Amino acid sequence: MTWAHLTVIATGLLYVGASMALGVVVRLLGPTYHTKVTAPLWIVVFFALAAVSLLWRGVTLLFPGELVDTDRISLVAPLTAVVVVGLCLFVLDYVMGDRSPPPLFNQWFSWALKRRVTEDGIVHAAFALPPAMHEAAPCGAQINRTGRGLRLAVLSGGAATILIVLGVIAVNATG
Amino acid sequence: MDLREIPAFWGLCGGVLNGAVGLVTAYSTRAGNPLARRRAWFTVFLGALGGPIIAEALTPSFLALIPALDMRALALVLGWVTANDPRSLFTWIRDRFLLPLKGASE
Repeated sequence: MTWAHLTVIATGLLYVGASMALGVVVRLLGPTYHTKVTAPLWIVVFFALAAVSLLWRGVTLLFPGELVDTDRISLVAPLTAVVVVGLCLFVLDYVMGDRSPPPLFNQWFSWALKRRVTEDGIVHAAFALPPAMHEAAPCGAQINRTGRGLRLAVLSGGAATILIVLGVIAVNATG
Repeated sequence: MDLREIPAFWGLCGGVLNGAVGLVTAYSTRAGNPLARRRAWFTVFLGALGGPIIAEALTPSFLALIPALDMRALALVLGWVTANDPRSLFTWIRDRFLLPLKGASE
């Protein structure tokens, strides 16, 4: 276990983490969350492509095979990966705000739908609006229906699963 | 028998990773809603069941095409891709292509 080895593993895990952040962006923009606004298709396709590319980059660093030469990796590579992760998290933060137009406009949208405004028009209008403040997001009423304990249990279980899988990958990595 | 020699194990890792990320998103305060939670559980099961199957089935073919790849990397990415909810894609195809055809013929 040398420094170069650790550098490769850290870089690979950071790229996998960046792809996880972009995967969440795809979920939020795509029709999975269709009670909110769904982005135009080409944006969703672009982010899906970006997520898979970053995952592939990280995984080929962790398990290089004969395609990638990890012996002469730069010591600055983890810094680049940190920059990528930071940008992905920035996009994720922006999208989480952008998902909810200001609460006042939800009323206007339902009214406009009755006036035969097409759904595409609504989507474009919603994306043109400034994002709502995170605390002002109107989804709080729906959240409280599930018990807080159950929610925390699922959240911590999911986080533990992610950490376990990443640990298995890191231990077996042959970077 | 070593688990780490089997593509299905790495497919399981990739699928469960993607499913767990979706679960955390759906149960977070800022993005979650009940419908998204049900869909997230579906994604978890898809990753845990479909990930190993798809990885085990497709990895040898891809390896035969590009032998320089590492088996584990390939199986991991295949499992990760499998754990995406494909139903929205089906809906999109239906709305965009199949329903207009039907409407035009009437």
